[in-house]
Amino acid sequence: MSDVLFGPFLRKGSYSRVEVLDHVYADERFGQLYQEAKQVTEIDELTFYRRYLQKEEKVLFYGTFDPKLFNLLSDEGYDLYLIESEMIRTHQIDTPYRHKVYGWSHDVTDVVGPEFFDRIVLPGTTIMHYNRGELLLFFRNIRQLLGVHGKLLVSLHDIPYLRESEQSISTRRIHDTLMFFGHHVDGERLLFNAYLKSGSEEKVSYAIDYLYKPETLFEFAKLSRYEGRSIYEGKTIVVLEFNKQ
Amino acid sequence: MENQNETTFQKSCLSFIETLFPDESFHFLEESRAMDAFGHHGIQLFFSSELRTLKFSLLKQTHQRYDRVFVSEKTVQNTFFRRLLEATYEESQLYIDHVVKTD
Repeated sequence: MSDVLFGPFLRKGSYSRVEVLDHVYADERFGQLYQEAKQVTEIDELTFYRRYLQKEEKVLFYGTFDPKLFNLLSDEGYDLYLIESEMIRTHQIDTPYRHKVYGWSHDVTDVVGPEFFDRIVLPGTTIMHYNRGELLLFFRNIRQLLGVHGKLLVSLHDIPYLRESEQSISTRRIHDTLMFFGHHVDGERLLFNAYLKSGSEEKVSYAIDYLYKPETLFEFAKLSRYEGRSIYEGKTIVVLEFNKQ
Repeated sequence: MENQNETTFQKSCLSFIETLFPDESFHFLEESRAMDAFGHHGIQLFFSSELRTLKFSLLKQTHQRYDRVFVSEKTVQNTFFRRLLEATYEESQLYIDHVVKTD
């Protein structure tokens, strides 16, 4: 437990009365908190997607994507699809678009065929959830989903900024529950820890992300025949685009 | 999913199919386990009749209160599968969550 929890969260997790959840989505409140924490705040996603995406393109989103954003962009005529394995996170998708929400990629290819999508977008910093071995598989496996000239869009945290800002513990109230959460950089890993107390209920949960420099992702992607480039470099994040070769 | 649970799920699927297609006789074709392009693990079960093949994709949910199941069909007229509905699987019973409408 000490390799995934830190500071006050490790102390809380050591008490027998505190339940430790190994997956943030095992509790809806932790899931919502983590989803919010994964979103990038430096750029306005709606404006960004409106500028970046073309309405005639078939775009597949995977990861922590705001359902309201999905509905709004779909209403505006963007041809969006979503892969979301957790059912609880799909309930806010409007009924006319529910048929474009899938649980996993095998069902997508069985329905629409291979190499169907013009773009795959991993919102927030979803890509950082993969360790190095998984990342290699990811780049290789999504080729079957992307069209001949398909593009992949991902975002990464700026590592120096993360190291500067990791000390603070934040609070957030969700469904009348006060929650504490924070990040900690542990070598090549970024640990997300959260704690909640509601009546006699006390829980701690965590998630592990992996820190990558853009150059590392470019090298990894090259092994699966992608050409990567940076399309935005900000204070807290960088946005990268990969072209399928 | 352990063997006994797999058999139970298979029986649940067949029972579900009999309700959906009472006039057709289905048999179990095969089961496969796979990891998708994004790293999610799932189980697929295929059932067949003279008219169609049905696919049940089962995904575990992290809250463990139920599993999520997608049902698709392929007929001789179609090249690809067509999604029919999404269901939940809890306590050996399938419940329809929503029917997939593709306009």
